[in-house]
Amino acid sequence: MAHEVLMPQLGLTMEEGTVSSWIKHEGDAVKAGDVILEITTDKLTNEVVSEFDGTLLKIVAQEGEDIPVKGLLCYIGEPGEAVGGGAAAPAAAPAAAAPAAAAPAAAPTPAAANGARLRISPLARKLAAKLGVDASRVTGTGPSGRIVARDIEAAAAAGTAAPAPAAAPVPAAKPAPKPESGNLQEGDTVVKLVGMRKVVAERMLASHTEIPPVTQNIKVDVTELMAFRKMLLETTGKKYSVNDLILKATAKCLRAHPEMLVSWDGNQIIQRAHVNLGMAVALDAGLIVPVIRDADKMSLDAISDAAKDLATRAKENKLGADEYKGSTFTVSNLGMFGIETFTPIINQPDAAILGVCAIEDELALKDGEVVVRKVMRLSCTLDHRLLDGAVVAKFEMDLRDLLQTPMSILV
Amino acid sequence: MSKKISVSKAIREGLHEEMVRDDKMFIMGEDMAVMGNVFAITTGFLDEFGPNRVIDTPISEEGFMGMAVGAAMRGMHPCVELMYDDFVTECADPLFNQAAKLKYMSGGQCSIPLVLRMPMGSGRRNAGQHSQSLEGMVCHFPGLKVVAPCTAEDAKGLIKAALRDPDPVVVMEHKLLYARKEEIPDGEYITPIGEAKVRREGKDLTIISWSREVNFAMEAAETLAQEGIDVEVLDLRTLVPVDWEAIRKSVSKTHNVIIVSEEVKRGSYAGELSAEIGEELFDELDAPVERVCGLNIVSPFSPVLEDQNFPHPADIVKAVKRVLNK
Repeated sequence: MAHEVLMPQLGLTMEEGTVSSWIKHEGDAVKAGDVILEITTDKLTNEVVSEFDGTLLKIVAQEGEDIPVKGLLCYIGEPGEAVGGGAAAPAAAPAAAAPAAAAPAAAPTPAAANGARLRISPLARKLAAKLGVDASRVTGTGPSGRIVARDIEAAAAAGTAAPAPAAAPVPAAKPAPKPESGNLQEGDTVVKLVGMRKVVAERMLASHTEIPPVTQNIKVDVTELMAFRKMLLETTGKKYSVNDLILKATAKCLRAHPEMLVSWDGNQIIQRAHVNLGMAVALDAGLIVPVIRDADKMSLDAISDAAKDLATRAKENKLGADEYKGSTFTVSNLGMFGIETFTPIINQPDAAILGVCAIEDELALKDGEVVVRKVMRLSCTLDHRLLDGAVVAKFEMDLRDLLQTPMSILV
Repeated sequence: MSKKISVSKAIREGLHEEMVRDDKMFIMGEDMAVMGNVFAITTGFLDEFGPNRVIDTPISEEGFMGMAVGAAMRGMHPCVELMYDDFVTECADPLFNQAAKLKYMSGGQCSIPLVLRMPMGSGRRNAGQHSQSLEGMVCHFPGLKVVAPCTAEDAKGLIKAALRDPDPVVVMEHKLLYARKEEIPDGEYITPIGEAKVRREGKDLTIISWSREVNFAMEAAETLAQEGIDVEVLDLRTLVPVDWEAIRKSVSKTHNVIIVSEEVKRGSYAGELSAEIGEELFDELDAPVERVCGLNIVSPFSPVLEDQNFPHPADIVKAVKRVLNK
C-alpha cells in the first residue's frame, strides 16, 4: 500500500489549506525531503516535503482545492502499487473544520455534510472540478444516492456556478455564496478566492461585523521625534524608521496601559500578559500581520531589527506559521502613502489597533509666533465592547506625549 | 452483393476457401471427416480434399492437439476442432504450454500457425461438461490469439484471418449461433484480428460483449431505446489482442459500462476487462463497471435452470437500468 501524504497542520489554529501548485507530478520520482507541492494557508504559502522515497503515484487534491488538516493530498509509493481507491474525500476532517457554510435553502439533502466521504463517481468528480461545482452540495441521483455526471451538469446549469468555465482557470471547490457572481460584463475575468485573500476577507468581515468600533484620531507634534531620529543617525550611524520609534513608544505605552491588552472571548474577557505587537505588512497578495513578541522588553535596536526581519520575510513568504499569531495589539502604518487619517479594522483577538498616518508640515502658534511644525495623526480603533472612548483617549494622550518627548521613549 | 446464409455455412465457406487456397492446411478433429462434423461444417470435405487433409481422430484431444502442434512446427497449417470447448482441459498442455509458447521457447526458430476451433456456450441442454464458456481460461495464456465472432460475416472473415495468421489462434464459436441465417458479402474477404465493431451507436451506456450475447445486447438495446435509454453495443469480435482503442473511445463517450458474457462470472474475461477499464479509464466512469455473466455454478441440465444461468436480453435491460439508476 502506498504512503499517504496528508495536509500538514502548520500552527495550532490551522483548519484547512489550499493546494496552490503541484511541484511534482504523477509519475515523478520523489526523494524524502523533496518539495512535492505548495499549499496556501493562513495567509502563507508553504512547501510540503516528502517523507518518503518513491514515485508520486496519484494526486488526489487538485490545485485550488481546499483540504482540511490531515486530508489526503497524494500517494507516494512504488510504481504499480495500489493506492487507496482513489477516493479524493479527505480521510479525516476535523469536526471544527466544518465551515458551516450556510447551506442554500433550496438544497434538499446534500450528499455529504461536514467533510464526510462523498459518494461521487470519478467522472462526476472530474466534471465538478471542471465546471466549478461544489459537489458536497449536490444531491446524487445515481445508485445509493451517488453523485453522477448528470447531477453535476444540472447543478452547473441551475446555479450560476459556472459563468464561464474558460475564464476560471482555477477549479473552484466552493461556489461564491451569493449568486450575483453571474453579473459579469464583457472583458471581466473571474478568479477563485483562495489563500491569503480569502483569509483576509474572512477575518476582516468577521471583525467588522462582530465589533462595535470607534476610531479616535489624535494629533501628534513629531518635530522633536524627527530631530531625535536624526540625532540617532548621527550618533549611532543607524537609521531608525519613524515606524521603529512608534513601535517602541507604543510598546512602552501599552505596558503602562494594560487595560488596552484585552481580548473578547464569548462571555469572558482575557487580560493579556504580553505586549505582542502585530505589525501590518502589505503584500501583493494581501496583508499579513507578523508579531513582535514582548516588544515592551526590547530595545529600540532589537525592535528595529525584528521589524525589518519580519517585514522582509513576510514579503518573501518565509514566515513561520506561529510568527503571525498571538498579537495583543496591532500597529498599521499608512504614513508613507500620505494618508491623513483612516479607520483601521481591529485584528482580532486584539481589542484595539493603532493607525499611523502621514507626517506633514503644519503651521502652529508658539509664543505668539507662527512656526512650522511636523505633525502626524494617530487613528486608534477600539472594540467598544471591551474599551471605552475615555480609556483609549488616555492611552492615546500618553502615547502622544511620549512621542513628543522622544528621549523618554528610550528610558 | 450479398447473400443470406447460416453462421455454420459461413464458417464452412471460410474453411473451404482456405483449403483450396492453401495446400498446407488440413482439418482434424472428432467426426470431422466421415460425418462432416456434428454441426455439418465439413460435410463433403473428405470427398473433395481426401483423407490426408480431412482427418477423423479418436477421442484423444491431447494426442491430436499435440500432433497438430508438431505439424505446425514443421510448416503445416492445421485447423483443429474440439467438439466442445469444455475439452480444452484435455489438451491443456499442447495448447497452453506448447502452442502458445514454442515461438518464445525456441528463440523464434519456429512459429505455430495453428487454428483451434472451439464450439462453446450454453442453451443446448448439454449440462455441466458441454456448456461452458471458457474465454477467461483461454485468454489468460499469452501467446494465443482469441476470437469470438457473433455474426455470419465475422465468422467467415475471422476464420480466414485466423488461418492466415502465423501464430496460434483460438476461434470460439457459439453453438447456438450456427443455425442463425444472416447476410454476408459475396466472395472472399478477411475480417482483421484485433478490431472490435460498434454494432449500435448510443450515448448513455456501452455494452461490451462478444459472440452470442451481442445479439441479446442488441435486443436489449432496442427495448431500452423505447424507454429513451440510448445504449451503444460494442462487439469485441477479437478477445486477444483486444481492441482497447475501441473500448476507450466508447467508454469515454458514454461513461457507463456493462460487460456481457456467458462465462461463469468468477474469474471471467469479462472481469478482466472490467478491471482494465477501472484501472485505465477510472476518471471516465460515472458508475462502477458491471459484469453481466453466468452464475458461479455448474451449468444445470434442467432447461428451466439453465435458462437462469446465462444473460438474456431482459437481464441486460435490468443491468443497464441498475447502472443508470433509471
